[in-house]
Order: sequence, then structure tokens, then C-alpha cells
Amino acid sequence: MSSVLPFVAEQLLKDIEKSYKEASQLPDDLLIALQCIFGSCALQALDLLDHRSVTCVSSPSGRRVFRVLGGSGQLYTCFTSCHYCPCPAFSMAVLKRNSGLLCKHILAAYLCQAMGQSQQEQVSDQDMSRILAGQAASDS
Amino acid sequence: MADILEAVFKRHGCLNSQPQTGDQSVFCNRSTECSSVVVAGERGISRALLFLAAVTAAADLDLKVLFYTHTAIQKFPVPVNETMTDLKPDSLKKIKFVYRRSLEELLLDVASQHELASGAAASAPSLVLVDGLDSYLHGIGVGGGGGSGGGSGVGSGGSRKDEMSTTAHLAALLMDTSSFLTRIHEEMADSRGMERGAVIPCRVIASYHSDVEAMTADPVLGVLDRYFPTRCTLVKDAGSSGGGDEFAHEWQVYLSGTGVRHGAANELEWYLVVHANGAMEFSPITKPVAPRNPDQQMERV
Ligand SMILES: [Zn+2]
Repeated sequence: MSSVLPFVAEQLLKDIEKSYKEASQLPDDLLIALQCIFGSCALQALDLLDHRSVTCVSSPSGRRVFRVLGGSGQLYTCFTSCHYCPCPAFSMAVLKRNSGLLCKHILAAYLCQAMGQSQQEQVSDQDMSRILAGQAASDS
Repeated sequence: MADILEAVFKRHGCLNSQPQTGDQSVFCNRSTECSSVVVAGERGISRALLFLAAVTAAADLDLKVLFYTHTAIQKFPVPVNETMTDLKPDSLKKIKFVYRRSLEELLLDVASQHELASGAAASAPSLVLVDGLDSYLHGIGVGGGGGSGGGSGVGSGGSRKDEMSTTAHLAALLMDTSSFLTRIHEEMADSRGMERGAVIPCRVIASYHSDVEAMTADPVLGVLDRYFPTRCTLVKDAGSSGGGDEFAHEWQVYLSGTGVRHGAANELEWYLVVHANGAMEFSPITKPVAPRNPDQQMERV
């Protein structure tokens, strides 16, 4: 049990970053490795990227966090420094059953970071605090 | 490694090793990921240990401390004058006590630390203490636990799942905030031309009240173990003699978790006597030394 990525996953994300910088696409071997490590989350996360669902929110203080628009229209605030997502899949698979490393939203945030693809949004420091606390108006 | 706690154990006990004010040699691991601790045990003793950590960090290690508590501290739970004879009132000013009644208030206060810290690193804490996570987390599913804000699963159903998710949210927010505060300290060091290696990463020490029998099956503690690399478990020694003091209580203190394995090979088990006046005295439980794993030796070179 851990809230950070294992070494092999971290290495894979580095490879993805390097390869995407050079060729702007993911070669098949990295796609297969991604599915090997993250299972069905991998394709679902890439789908979120295709739909431009990941936003990197930052505020003047320098604090940053990812917000991911889920398929159901729900907005999830994800921490990547230590894994947390408020979605039901994270609660069930990761916290309760301990059967996965992370959910598709956190993986999508990682992939966005690696591929430099996230949408950017600036908010005030006060709004950032409410987003981090899960008390923003957009959290239902 | 739970380096701040270890400094506390050594300071208040038979070893009574007093570091010079601001001495940094106690910090054996300079990463936030490895140094945060959840203290599990009875409420009174956990709170006393957190308090002792606050005073030791402020007075001996010259750290700014942020101390969250659910209920106001009426009097010091531990008399510190005996072991810290040179304690100056000024060093206690480095500790900021913050009373937060509900989980929503606590989450928002922790989440807003970046507003205070940016541009004023001098005021950013290096140690964040949360007394009684259980006071904030228990009962959250049943009617919202006194808060009206609708945040991240709080008060939305009452199932164990919500409690686990909310626990994860609070723990992740604490860790993410301590990483951010560490970055602020590093940027400040850069701007002053100091070495980044001299920066002390911000740590979190939080207490969680749980009975020893319930610990293994407690899903909330399981979630906390996921986020806090080190657990400090306090177990009351039922058949203890109290070292001749009939009102004294004795405790076994165990350090465990991934944070311990990544740290230096220091004592992992301690013996704690709480005297009738509340004074705490720690001594290491020495075990026969097993041959060290050669991989670990390599790591430490
Ligand atoms: Zn998720």
C-alpha cells in the first residue's frame, strides 16, 4: 500500500514524456506497457486526454492541482504528489479493495503532465483553497 | 524515518541528549515523503506526545510549528520544565495553536496555508501537527458531522466508503500542503543564496485515537497508513510497575512503516513511563543486533 507511484510506473511516465517530446505520439510498445501496469485505466485515461478533460489549475501562490472532468460530467480534484481522487472508483478499487494503484482521473493527470497536454486555468488563491478543500461551488 | 519523534524520545528520557538550538543533525532524512508520522493510541497519551513534539521542535530545533486541535488546550498536558530547564517563553511563540471544530473548517484551513506562505516563507511552518484526526473523521457520514459545507463526500450517505474517502482527502491534502511548504522554503533558500540541502522539509505528525485491539481491523487507520509513511503505535503496558512510582503508567512505543525502512537504522521500539505529574520519560528497548542487510548498507553510504 502506498500513495506514490512505484519506480516502474515512474520510469514509464518518463519514457512517455521523452518519446512524446520527440515524436508527438506514443509508440505501441509504450502503450502496451501502460496497459500492463495500469490495466483498463490506461485506455480510459487516454480517452479523457482525447476529450481534453484535464485542466491544470494554478493560483498566484504557485499552488497547482489537476481537475478532471469525468464521463458523468462530475469535476474531480486530483492530487498527484500523493494519490487522491474523490471519485467512487478510487474509493472502491484503491482505498477499499486495494486492487489498483490509482483511478483513470489521476492517471490522466499524470499523462497530461508527461505529454504537456493539459488545459491551463488561473484562479485566485482563495478559490484555490476552496478547490483543494473540496468546497468549491463547482463541487456538487 | 520519524526523525522529529526520535529527537523527542532522546530529549525526554534517559538519553536526555539536548541538541544545540537549531541543530539540524537530527534530520536524518531530508524528504517530506519519508518523515511524516501518524501516532495511533489512546487520546490522552497521543495528545501529550504531539504537544511534546511541538515544544521540542520549537525550542530545540528552532522550527515554526502549526498545531491543529479539535478542542482548546486548557493547560500543558506535559510538564516540560524538568527536562527542558532552559526553555524560553519566546520559543513557545513559534507554536501556533489553531482550533478547528469541524472537518470542513480543518480542510479549508490546511488548504489555505498556501495563501499565507507565499511571499512570506519566514512564517511558513516546518512542522504541522493535527491532534485527534478521529475527532474530525468519525461520524462524518451521519448527518454531516456538524458542518454545513458540501465537500467531497462529506455527509453524503454515512457509509464506510465515504469515511475512507474523506480520510484519504484529509491525509492527501496534508501531504500535498507539506510538499508545497517545503517548496516555499526551498525557493526562499534559493533567493537568499543558501544551499537547498540546508532546507528542512515540512513534516506532518497527526494523532489518531484507536484501541489496540481495533487497530488491525480499522479501515480508517488503514487509509492513514497509506499516506503517512511512518506509524507510531502506543500500547499501554498493563502489568507495569511504573519504576517504583505507583501512579505512573508505562507504554510501549513502536515505529513502523515504509518511512522507517528508508531511514537510518535507529531504535524502533521505545519504552515510555508517564509519571504521576504527567512527565514523560523515554528509553530505547535494545534488541540483539541482527546482521545488517548489505543492500541497506549500500544505500546509506
Ligand atoms: Zn478518479
